[in-house]
Parts: sequence; structure tokens; C-alpha cells
Amino acid sequence: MLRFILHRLLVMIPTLIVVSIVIFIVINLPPGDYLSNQIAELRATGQEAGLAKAEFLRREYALDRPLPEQYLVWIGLWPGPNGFNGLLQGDLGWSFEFNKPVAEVVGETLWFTVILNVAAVLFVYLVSFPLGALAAIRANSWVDYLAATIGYIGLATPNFLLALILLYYGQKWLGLPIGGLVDAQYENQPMSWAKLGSILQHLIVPTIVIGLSGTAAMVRRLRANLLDELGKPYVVTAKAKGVPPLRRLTRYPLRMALNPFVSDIGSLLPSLVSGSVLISVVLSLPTIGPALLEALRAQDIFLSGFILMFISLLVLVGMLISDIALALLDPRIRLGKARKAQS
Amino acid sequence: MLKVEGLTIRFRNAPVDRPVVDGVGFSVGAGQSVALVGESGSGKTLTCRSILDILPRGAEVAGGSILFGGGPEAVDLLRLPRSGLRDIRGSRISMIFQEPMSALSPLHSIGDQTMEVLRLHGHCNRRSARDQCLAMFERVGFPDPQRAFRSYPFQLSGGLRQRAMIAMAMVARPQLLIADEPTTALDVTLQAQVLALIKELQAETGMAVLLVTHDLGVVANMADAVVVMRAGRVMESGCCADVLGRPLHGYTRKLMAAAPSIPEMTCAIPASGAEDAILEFHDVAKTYERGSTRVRALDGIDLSVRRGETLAIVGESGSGKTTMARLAMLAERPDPGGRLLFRPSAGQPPLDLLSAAGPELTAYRRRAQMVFQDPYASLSPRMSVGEIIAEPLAIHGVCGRGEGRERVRALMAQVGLDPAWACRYPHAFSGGQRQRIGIARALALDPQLLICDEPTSALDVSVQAQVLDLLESIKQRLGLSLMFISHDLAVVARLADRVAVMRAGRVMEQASPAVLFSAPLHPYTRALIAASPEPDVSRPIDVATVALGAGAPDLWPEPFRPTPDGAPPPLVEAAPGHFVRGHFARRAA
Repeated sequence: MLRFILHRLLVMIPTLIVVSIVIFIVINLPPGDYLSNQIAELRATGQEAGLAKAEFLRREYALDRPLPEQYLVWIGLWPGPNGFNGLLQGDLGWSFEFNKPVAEVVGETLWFTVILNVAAVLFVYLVSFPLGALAAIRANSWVDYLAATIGYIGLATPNFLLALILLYYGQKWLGLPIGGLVDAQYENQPMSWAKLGSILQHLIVPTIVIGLSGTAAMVRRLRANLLDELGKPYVVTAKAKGVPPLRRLTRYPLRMALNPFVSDIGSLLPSLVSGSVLISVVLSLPTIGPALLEALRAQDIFLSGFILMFISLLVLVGMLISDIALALLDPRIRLGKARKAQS
Repeated sequence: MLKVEGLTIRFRNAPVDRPVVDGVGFSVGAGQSVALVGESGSGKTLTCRSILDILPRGAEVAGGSILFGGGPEAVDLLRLPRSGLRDIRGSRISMIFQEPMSALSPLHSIGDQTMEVLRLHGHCNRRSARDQCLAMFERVGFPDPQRAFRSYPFQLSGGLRQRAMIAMAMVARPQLLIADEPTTALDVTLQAQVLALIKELQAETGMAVLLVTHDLGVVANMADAVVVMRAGRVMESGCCADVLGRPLHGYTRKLMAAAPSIPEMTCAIPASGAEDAILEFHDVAKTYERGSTRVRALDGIDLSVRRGETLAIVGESGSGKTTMARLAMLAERPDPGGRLLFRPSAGQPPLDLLSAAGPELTAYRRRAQMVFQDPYASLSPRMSVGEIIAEPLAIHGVCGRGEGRERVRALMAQVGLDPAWACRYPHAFSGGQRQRIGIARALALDPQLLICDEPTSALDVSVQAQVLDLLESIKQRLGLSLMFISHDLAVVARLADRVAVMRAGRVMEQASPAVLFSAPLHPYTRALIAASPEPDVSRPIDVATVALGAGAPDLWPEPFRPTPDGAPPPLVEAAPGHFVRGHFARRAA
């Protein structure tokens, strides 16, 4: 098992390298870059002073060199003007748009993004699991229809609309806070229980909004899987052994139906991350979503490059987690290699 | 012990309101074994499933009673509350299913699943449950019980899987074991051993056995009493020797007549002297690579199909017989070094199939056609029968549309189908009729060579007999050469002019059926013959012979054993036309 995890971790390295190359190429595809745009603008308006600074930044971040070299400098495999100083060394680069180091721009929002997405994934799983299982066991009963209805609403309603509705009624009936990450009084204060409570309160609406469509899809999938498994001969065997109904369900078909459920973590994460960009804008949440949008619009290459890398890493970690969970759950995957060797 | 009376089962929402099991009654005494026999659709499986209330969705018991237990303690299983029935399931009545692979959970180790039975019924604590399981694993013949305990079903071979299933059913020492086609999915030699195991366990524990099977040979070997079912009704029942020896009901007689058995043959047919082979295999080998492992599916095959004869290739699963069919069809290419020769007509120079290309190859594909094993999977459900049969004509551009329609009608008549059915789709046909469609399609191009890969193994016995008759008459009429692949010696004995017995990718013995079945030399051939169950109570399976021949080659008697370095002995002509793999002095030609 340890070897399996180690192997998967090693495989992640070349994947990340390929991803970084693709990202770098993609963000450099539009003609020009932030600095050359700025320099042109400064020239046009005759601000020669700013020009010197722009030229300085251009050299400082090796933007005057050929693209492959730029890439290596960005990663930190090639000496830039100040020696090796790239992602590998922990220097995320300079955000031209915000005129700050990228690390400062992203800062806390990074962690909030992770927290929000993990919360959304947990929401998806915690809600869809019992709902999907119930819908399958009581197929064509009111539970099934209710789950289907909620699912279709979740799939069909535009997320931002849902967000606005939930915000309004959440505030009106439950006194939930509107927008932002934390109440104003706690901002710039050290972490405390009260602050944590405030953050959690603020998380409720975004989590539901971001997770709902994923939940809807997941409920349908679990229902279909479980319905298939319920008719399998090994369930009959369990019945013939005298296994009581609840134990029969949880021990056999439910575990089998869990497989696709778990393997979805990997594909769930990216859709959540990209889906949360718009929500973050609507709810004015300090996630990296809005920053990414702004960075891409302004061709702020270091900022957008880093954010894309971060999301890719998130996805890879999600896939790693789902692979490990699958191997733990299913001996056929865990022992698959050994079987091939035997036959 | 068990008394079933007036059992009626019907399907809810069935279009025709006719019970699928109608007033079935029989009884099983303590320590007795009773066989429920019938063809598919006879309701035998539904009957046995209703005992444990594990009917498929939609089926329900409409009437009758199932009394279980002796004397005053007898309970009616159909009227027992659920919890009461759960206490009986697995502990007092247990069941073995046909497909151990799907009937065992793939996510739990064998030990886990077996132990669950004991734990559920509160027989003992974890530790002694484990000990009992290990003892049971050893009893059912696992070489390493500890390892079996930890194994998952997919790590075991088919035979061991069924042993695990038996261990699971037996571990709580039930009073009644229901075995639903327990050996249908197994090779004959495995079947013989598993049946012997059930019998031994029965003798040890004194349990009753209710055996559900379609195979009268299995019945003759296992049962004290027989219940013959057809279309949900009992046709005949009684003591096994009586029913099989002097069947009274017409249906039982029909079943007996159709039951394949190896006939007594003594007269030796002289081998034809002239070597006019239509298809020749010369030193053909085939290796499959799966990841880092290599599997030698065929090794050093030298065989020829003579013009106008039926060459049967017999072997168990994994012997490489289907690979031979695929190579003969050029669906796959053998390893470099071997040669495949095809002689379109006598005296002509042979065509080297492996170097053939273009029109030569197309011509060969017209001359050699295949009949597949599974008539359900090998016909496209989206094409009508007429389209299916006409497709080869269109591909090879043999004839126009109108002419093609005539040809389809003629072909359908030839295989015994009503030509008016040409516009129907395959789902409207029974298994036997579908196989006829498959044969008609194979015949469409006027082939010279027909390769049949287990054409009857998916069919009921009575239908199997008809399809074999059809193949035989077509071969006679059209002068075809047949390469007939089968695992069933009885089928082969009926049809073949020469038989090659294969094991693990090699030919073990080759002779005419008369010689092979009356005087087999090789221990593996003997095991195969001994393992075929005969519907005759006076000729039980000789398990010792089976175990010896089906066991490891190192344990075979001297001349057949591989050399110390693992190389198999050569194939030697022991008598004219009779080849066997063994260290014999080569006969002077």
C-alpha cells in the first residue's frame, strides 16, 4: 500500500511538469503581455518616468528573454537576473496588475479557497450518500421522487440566482450574514473561536450553492449504481446465508456502489473550483476565483500562472485521495497487479 | 425433512396469467438426495429458491406449502415470519449457486464471507469461528487453508471458487443443502471432483441434498430420487434407478434419449491412407502477453483437417482450443515460425495462409466459415434474420439483391427454419433456432471448411441433439470439412472422425473416436472420459481416475511424465493413426 502511494506521488511530478508547460504556453498565447501593453500606453501618454520602471520590471522578471527561458526562470530551473528564484524556490513572482508580489495578492484567499472547496465536497458527499442510497432502496417511492425533484432543481437553476435567493431568505429567516468571509468586526483580528464561528456561518450559503449541482448528479449516479448492485447474485447469497436486511445492504451492495462514488472526487474538484468563480464574484467571497478572472483579463502572467498551477495541484491531490480511497475499499484494485502476475 | 406440496409460483404483471410453477410437490428425507431435473424454463430453479424465499423480483408464491423439519416440529417456511426464516437460512438450510464468481462478494475475503455465517447464527466467538472455517476449507480441499481464508474470489480458479462456496454453505452444518446447478460452470474433471466432494460431505454429516440440474448424468451419479419437471409441472418422480432405468413418462424418455453419452464403440474405422488435408497446422504456437507475463496458449501444434472429415478438438477451459479456431479463421496470427496451409482442392498446391494477402486471402475467407458458441451474443439484435444471413453475400459481392433473397430463403429452409421468418429479429427465436441462423449465415458463401466453436454448449440437451443432427446432415450433403471444437466428449463421440485431446496448449492424444474412447492411453484422456457423467446409475464416475489424470503432469505414470527439466514428452504414434504424448519407443512406420 505504501509503495502504491509512493508510486502515485512520483507519477504526480511529471504530470505537474506537463501541466506547468501547458499553462505557460496558454497564458502566453495572446499577443503581447501586461508590461508591453503598459509601456505602449505610457509612451502614448508621455509618462517617461513610469517607462523606466516598466523596463526595469521587464528585465527583473526576464520577460525580455525567449519563451523557453522565461518558462525555466519562472519554474526556478534557470538563473534569472537575481539567480535561481522561481516557483521551486518559493518566489511566486510579481503581480503587475496589483503591483504587489503574487504571494501577497493570493495570500489568505488561497486557504479560503481550499476550505470552501473541501466544505463543498463534504457537502456533496454527506447529502448525496444517504439521499442516493434511500432513493435506490425505496426506488419509485416518495423518497425517490423527492430526491429526483431536488436534484433537477439543483441542476437546472443557475448558480448565481440560487445564491441570491439563498442569501435573501437565509438573512430573512435565519439571520445568516450576507457576503464576505467574516464579519467586519473580526477582520484583521487574530483567530479565535468567535471568528471561526463567524467564518463557518459565512460558509453555509456558498457551500450549498457550489455543491448543489454536484450533489444532484451524485444522487442520480449512486441511485443507478446501487439499483444495479441490489439485483446481483451475491446479494441473494447473503440473503440465503441469513444476513438481516440492513446489514445485508451496508455490507454488500452499498460498498460496491461506493466505487464510482469515490472515484468522482477527482473530477468533482475542478468543476467545483471553476464553478465557484462566478459565485465568489456574486457573494463577494475572497477566493482566488475573482483574482484569477482579473489576472486573465489583464494578462497578468505570473498571477494567472500561479493560480492555474495551484488549481491543478488541487485536482491532482483530489485524484490521489480518491485513488487511495478506492484501493482501500476495493481489493480488486489493491490486488489487481498481483492477479495479473499470477494468470 | 422437507415436504413441498402444491407449490405454485407466478410472476406479477405477467402478460399471460399462467403460473410458472404449478402445483409442484415432492419430499426430501433426512440424509437423502433428491434431484430436480428439467430444461431451462422448467421452473426448477424457482422451485428451489422459493424454499429460502429468495425468488427474483416480480415472482411470488401463490399457493402451496413447504414443510421443513421432522414430525411435530415441522414448520411451513412460506408462513414463517421473516426473522424465523432468517434463523433457518444459512444455518439449517444453505445453498450453493451456479456461478461462484458472481455469487460471492468480490470485496470480502473468502474467510470473511464464510465466517459471517457462523457469527450471524451465534454459534461461537470469533476465534472458534475462524478455526471452524479453516477446518472446513481444509475439508473441501484447499491446499493452504490459511491462504484461502485471506483470498478474494477473483484470486481463485473456478474450481476453488466453487469449493469456497461449498465451504460457506457447509460450515454451519446444515440439515439441508440446496445445490442449484453447482457444477454447470465447471469443466468435466472439476465437476466430477466437486460432485464427489458434495457426496462425501453428505455421507459425513448426514444432511439432505436437493440438487437442481439439467444433466441426467449428474443425477445418476448423485441422487437417490428424481423429480422431472417441465414447464412448471412435475412430469415424473421416483427412485433414481427406476426413473432413469425405466422412464414411464414420454418426456423423461425424450430427455434420456437426448442425453449425450459416450457410446460403446469397438469397431475400429481404418484410417484413410491418402493424406488430403484441407487445412494443416505446422508447428503452430501462440503466445499472449499480458503486461509483463507471457501466456503460451498454443505450443507446437501439428494437426491437419482432412477433406470431408470432422476433426474434433477436445479440451477443458484454458486448453487453447478456441485459440486454434481463431488462428484457423486468421482472426489472429500465430507466433512467427509456424505455418498454416490451406488446400482448396485435392492435388492442388497448398496456399500458405500466413503469407497470403489480397484476393487469395479474401478467397480463403469465403471458403472457411465459423459457427460461434453463444447464439445470443453472436447475432446482432438490430438486424433481421434475412439481413444477417445475406450480409456475407453482400460483403463478398456474390449476388444481387433479388438473387440474394432467394438464396436466404433456400439457406433458411436448409437449416430447418421457415423462410417466411426472414424479416424477424433474433430476439424472437429460441436458442436452438438462433444457432440455426448462425449456421445458415456460415453456409451462405458455400464454404468448404466449417469451424464450429462449441456450437451447442449454450443449448439445452434436446435442442443440442437437433443442432448436431443438422450439422451432420449438412456436412454429408455439402461435403464439408469440419473442425469441431468442444469440451463435451459425448458430443464429440457422436460427430467426429478423428479426435485431438488438448491440454494446456498441447495435443495430448489423437485418434479416431472408436479407438480413443475404447482404449485411451493418456491419463488425461482417461480422466476426461471417466469424468463425463452418464445417465446410468450402474456406471458411477471413477473419481480416482479423474483425480489422477486431471492432476499435475508430474504425478502421471511414468511414460507420460514430463522430463525433469519440465519439457513434455513428444507426440508419438502408438498405433496406426493413434498418437499419444509419452516416452514410447517410436513405432516403425
